[in-house]
Amino acid sequence: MASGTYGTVRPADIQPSDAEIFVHYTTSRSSAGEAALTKYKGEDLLVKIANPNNTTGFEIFGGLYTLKLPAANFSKKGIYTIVIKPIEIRAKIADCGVLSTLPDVKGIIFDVNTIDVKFREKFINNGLIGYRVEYLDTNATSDTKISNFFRIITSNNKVEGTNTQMTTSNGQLAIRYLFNDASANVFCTLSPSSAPTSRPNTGNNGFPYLGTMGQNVIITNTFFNPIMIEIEMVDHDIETLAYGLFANQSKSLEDGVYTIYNFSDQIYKQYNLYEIKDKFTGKPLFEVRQLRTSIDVSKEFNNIKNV
Amino acid sequence: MEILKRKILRETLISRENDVSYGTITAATIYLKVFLTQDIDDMGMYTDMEYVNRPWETPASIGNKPNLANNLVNELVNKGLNFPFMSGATTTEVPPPFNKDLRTVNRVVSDFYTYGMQVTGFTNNKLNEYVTTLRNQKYRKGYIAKSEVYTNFLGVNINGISTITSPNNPVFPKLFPVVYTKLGNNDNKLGTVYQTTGIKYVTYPSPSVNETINIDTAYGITDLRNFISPTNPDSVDTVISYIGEGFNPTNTTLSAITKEELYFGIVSEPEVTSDVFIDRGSSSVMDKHLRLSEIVGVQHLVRYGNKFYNINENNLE
Repeated sequence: MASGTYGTVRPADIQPSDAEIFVHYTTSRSSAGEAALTKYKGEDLLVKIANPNNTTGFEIFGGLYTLKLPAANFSKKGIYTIVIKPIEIRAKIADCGVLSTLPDVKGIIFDVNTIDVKFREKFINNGLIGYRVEYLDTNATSDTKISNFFRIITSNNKVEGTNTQMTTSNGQLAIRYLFNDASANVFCTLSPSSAPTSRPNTGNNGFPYLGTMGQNVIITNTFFNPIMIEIEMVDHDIETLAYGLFANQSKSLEDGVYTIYNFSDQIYKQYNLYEIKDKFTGKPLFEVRQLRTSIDVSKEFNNIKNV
Repeated sequence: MEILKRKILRETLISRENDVSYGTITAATIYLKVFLTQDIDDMGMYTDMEYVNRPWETPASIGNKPNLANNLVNELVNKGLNFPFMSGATTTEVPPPFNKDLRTVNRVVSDFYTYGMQVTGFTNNKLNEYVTTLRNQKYRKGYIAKSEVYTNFLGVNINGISTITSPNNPVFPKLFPVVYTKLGNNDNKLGTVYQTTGIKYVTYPSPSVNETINIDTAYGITDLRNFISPTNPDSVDTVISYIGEGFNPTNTTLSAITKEELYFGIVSEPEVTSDVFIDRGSSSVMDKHLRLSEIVGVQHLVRYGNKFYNINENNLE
C-alpha cells in the first residue's frame, strides 16, 4: 500500500561519456604520492551492463558498471585513489541578459559554437536542466575556482539577441533575447536568481550573482553522485599466505633449492637453503634460506613427481 | 560521498607459467564492479512561456531576384557584389535526425504529437445504452442509439453513430459476443478490425463462474488476454478498444518553459479553498458595499459583523 512517501535514491543510468575518472597513485600511506591526478575518459574505463529483464535487445542495467583498469597503469604496488565524477564542460559566459517578453526572467547566455564539439549536443533546448554551474575567478593568481558557490540551471532555450525598446525610457533600445531555435546562443535561467524580499531588485543590490560577461564557468551534470574508490595493490594476502601453509612444497636435497608452489602447482617462490660454517673450525654458524631471483625450472612439480 | 576500498593481489596479474613470461605481469585488465546512484529532487512545476514570433524581416530575394528593399542586399548590389542567397539560394545544411524529445529547426508542433496505436482494456458492458423499445428485440443490429457529426482531434469531420454492428439480433441473457460502437464513423469499417474512429466494445456472454473467456482477434482486438467473468450484470465482461490520440493540440500545448522560483519543489498548482462563508441573509444586493472597503482581514470581518454577516466558523482555525 502506498504510504505517501517516496524514495529519492535511484540507480544511475548514465552513459560512460557522462563521467570522467581521475586517478592518484602513491607507494604507501606515508608518501604524498604523485603531484598531479591522471585523467581518464569515462568511456575508456566504464562499461555498461545489460539488463537481463530485456531479452530482445540491449538495455542498460541501472547503477552497475564494470570498471576496466588497464593493468599496465595499475599494477604497481601501492595505493590508487580513483574518483568517478560527472564530466565537466568548460564554457565562457557570452552575455548576461533578460528575455524580451519577460524582462523579469534573467539568465546567462552561452555561444554553443565556443563549446567543445563533443558537448554541443547537450545544449539543446532544456537539455541542461539540472546541471550545475560553478564559477572561476580568472583574475586570481592561484585557485581560480570560487569555492562554495554554484548555481543550478533551471531551463535553457535557444535565443537570439534583438534590439528592444525599453518601457522605462523614450526611444531607448537595449539588447533583449527572443526564443529562436535556429540560433546558436543558449539562454540559461539559474537558481537562485531572485532577490530576497528584504532587498528588492532595485539597483541590483539584492540580486543574486549569476555571473558576468566573459567569465569562465564549469558546467557539470548531476546524473550521479561522485564516488571514490581506493585500490591497494598488494603482493600478499590470505591467498599467498595459504600457498606457504597448504600448497605443495619441495626441497632438493642435492642443491638445496626449496620451492613453494601455488595451488596450480606452479612455482611461486624458490629459496636457496644452505649452511654457513666457520671456515677454520668447520663449526656450523647459520642456516640460511635465501630467496632466489632466478627460478630453477627443473624443480617444476610435474617434473619432480615424475622422477 | 561513499568511499569504496578494494585490495587486489598483484599475484593474480603475474604469470607463473614455465616460459619466458614467468614472473611478469601478463594480465591486460583489472575488472571491478562499481554501483552509481543518483539522489533526485523534484524541481516542481514549470511555467509555460509563449513564443513570440520574430518581427517580419525583409526577404533577401523575391522571385529569385535580389530584393533591394533588404538593406544588406541593397548595399551589396550597390557595391557590385552578388551572392547566391540574393537569388533565393538556401544553405544545404542537413538537419539533425528527428527526435521527438528535441525541438529542431524545420519541425512544426504537429511533428511532436504521437498517435495511432490501438488501446484495449476491460470494462463493464454498455449495452444498456443500446436497448431498443421493441418488446421482442431488446438489442438489434443496426439500431442507432445516437448519431452526431463532430470534428475529431485531427480536425476531420466524423459522421459518428452509436450502434450494434454484430451479430444479428443478440438475445439477452445468452448473448453472442456483441460488437457495438460509440460514435464511430458511419462507413464500411464500422465494427471491423479496420475501425479507427470512435470506441468499439465487444461484450461476451455471461459465463459460468470461473469460466475462462478466450478473446480472439476477429473483432479487431489484438490483446489476447483472457479473463474470468462471474455471472454478474456489473461484471467486467467487455473489451474496449480505440485508437489512442496521445498528446495533441486538443489536450495540450507545446511551448518553452521556465522555472519560477516560487514554485520550486511545488509539484501541483496551489489550490485556494474558502473557509469563510458570508451569509448576507436578507440584505439587498444594493446594500452599501462600501462597508467592505474597510475590511482588511478575517478578524475585521468577525468584529465588524454587527449582524450584517454570519460567518461560518466551522473550518476556521
